[in-house]
Amino acid sequence: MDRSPLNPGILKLAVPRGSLFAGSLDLLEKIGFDVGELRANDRKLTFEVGEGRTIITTRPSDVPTYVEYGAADAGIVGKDVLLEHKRNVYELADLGFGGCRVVYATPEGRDPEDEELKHLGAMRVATKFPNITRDYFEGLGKQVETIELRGSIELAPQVDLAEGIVDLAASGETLKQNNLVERAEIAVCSARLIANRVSLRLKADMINELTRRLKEVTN
Amino acid sequence: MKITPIPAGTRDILPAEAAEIRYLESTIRAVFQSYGYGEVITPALELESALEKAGEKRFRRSFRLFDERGDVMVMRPEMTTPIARLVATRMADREPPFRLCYFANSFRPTTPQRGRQSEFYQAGLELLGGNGPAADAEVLAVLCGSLEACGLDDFSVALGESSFFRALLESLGVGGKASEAIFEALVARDLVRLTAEVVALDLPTEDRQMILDATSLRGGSEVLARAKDMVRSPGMEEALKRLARTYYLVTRHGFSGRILFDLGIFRNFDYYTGIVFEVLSGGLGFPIGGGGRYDALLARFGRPMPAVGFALGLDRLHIAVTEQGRVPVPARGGVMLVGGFDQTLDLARELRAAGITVAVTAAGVDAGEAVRLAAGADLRWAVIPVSEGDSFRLEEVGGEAARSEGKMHGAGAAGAGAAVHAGGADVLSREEIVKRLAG
Repeated sequence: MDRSPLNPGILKLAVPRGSLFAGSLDLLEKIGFDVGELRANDRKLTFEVGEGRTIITTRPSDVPTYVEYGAADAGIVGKDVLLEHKRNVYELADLGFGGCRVVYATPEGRDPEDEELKHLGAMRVATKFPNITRDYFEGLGKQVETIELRGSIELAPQVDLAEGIVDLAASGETLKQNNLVERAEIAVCSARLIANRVSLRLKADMINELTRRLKEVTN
Repeated sequence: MKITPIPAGTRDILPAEAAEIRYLESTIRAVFQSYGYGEVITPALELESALEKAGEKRFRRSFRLFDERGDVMVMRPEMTTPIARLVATRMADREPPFRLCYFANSFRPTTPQRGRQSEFYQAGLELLGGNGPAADAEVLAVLCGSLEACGLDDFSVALGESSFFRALLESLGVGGKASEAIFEALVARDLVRLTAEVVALDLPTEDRQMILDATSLRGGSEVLARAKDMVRSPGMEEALKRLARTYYLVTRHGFSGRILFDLGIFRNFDYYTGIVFEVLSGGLGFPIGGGGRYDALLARFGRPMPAVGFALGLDRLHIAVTEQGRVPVPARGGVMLVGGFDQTLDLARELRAAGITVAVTAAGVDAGEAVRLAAGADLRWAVIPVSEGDSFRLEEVGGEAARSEGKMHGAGAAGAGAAVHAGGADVLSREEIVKRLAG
């Protein structure tokens, strides 16, 4: 395999299975990637999608890991994952789809925050995003205890596991159904194109081209 | 029994790996020396008050402890600042330029992963008091020469000029908070945020586009031509001229094929004042090392002078060389000598005098066990006395394994090292053993 600089063999792209999967494939199809097999086969993990191009599919939160280590040259990932995991990668472009917000919510009615902070000094916040949560409350100078959960975050306040939650919200419907009210918007997120810091230089031509064309079809 | 742990981010290195890392180190040392760089050894502990002269930010993430007076000591997180201190104090009566190098461990708390440890071992050098493209090119040449000597085929040096972008912002009148925000986004490698910051600037669309274009100037030497079209101030022109001249001189040193340009490199932007570079290898997701010109540092220690240097992560270099499948340690030799503690001392002494490594084991070990011991100690041979007298059986580590599997090619190919069977005519005398192994 020819690995000499500026003429590297293959561009490996990591695409997240999950909510950004369909949107990612649509975009890649628009710029000429042959993604038919990715749509058809949900068990296979690596795909050849044209001359010199490989796509690997991973869990969304693993995409930055693959890219940081250089197992993938570039990847598509939600900004929420980037904020949470803080991997050492280049963030090249906002791909404009997969929009969502990270919000802080507490039960309807009187916000329990003040009482908790006043009497207990710290409140408990349940979340899938412990780092985002910690950063956000640290920035406000408030003490919180983050309780890391893997799913159904909105359940936590109902069973007195936590006073509030930090979670993704799209329409806000889930919050409403669970009698939660959004108290703050922490971040607005969308899908991003990221790249490995070595690949960005050694495969500059391929990655610049990919970035340029993805930007073209997203704008 | 419970495994006894060591701190996170540190690691033990066993003989085979240590031999490889030391081999790389001695190879690099020879190249450094050939350019006249002298090695310095400085303390692993520095006073915080001394290091902080280099800027508090650089040392925020460090291990600290107290000395007996209550002064704060820092486990050095890098070697450049200690060398700046050394030049300003111990070498105050000497005239620059100084060519200094080091092979040392440094310490930085981190979440460990492959190639990133809290204790890491570096080979590096500093050229202090040398200015301009000639000095920059020398340092880049030593860097490329060292890596080639280590047998690393697949590497490039991504080269940038930190003053080019700074001069561009100046020429556009972007300063203060706005330029700070731009540099922050660049250091965070967040080009989406960079775009947002630039779009928010009160500038013509053309100029805003130019800022974004300047950060994505990467590729071969054609980048210099593209950058030339952007020049709009003497500062930019000057920076680009220096870069082109440096590149020309590196070419003259014989390393043109190693240089890539990347004007979007922003390592420690408040530290580097001229060229800045990173060493990249295709098999590795992170740089092997990097460096640049830091003309402002020495003044902070009271002895202003220009300076340029680099550091290579020896662990990372070792990974990169290994990724290529080539571990360039000289062929393994040496003998496991049975009875060498007492009964065969004479043979042991003669072999060592002939420059052969001899490890010994107690008498009474049979040939099979002796070969296993030799293999375990990374030795090539086992020598077993076969009688009361002065005769010995010679076994080669690979040869034994091959024979026991019924494959003969290993033993045949070993040539002078062909295993010799005990009991037959092939039992060797003391003189023959020495002659064969030393030959």
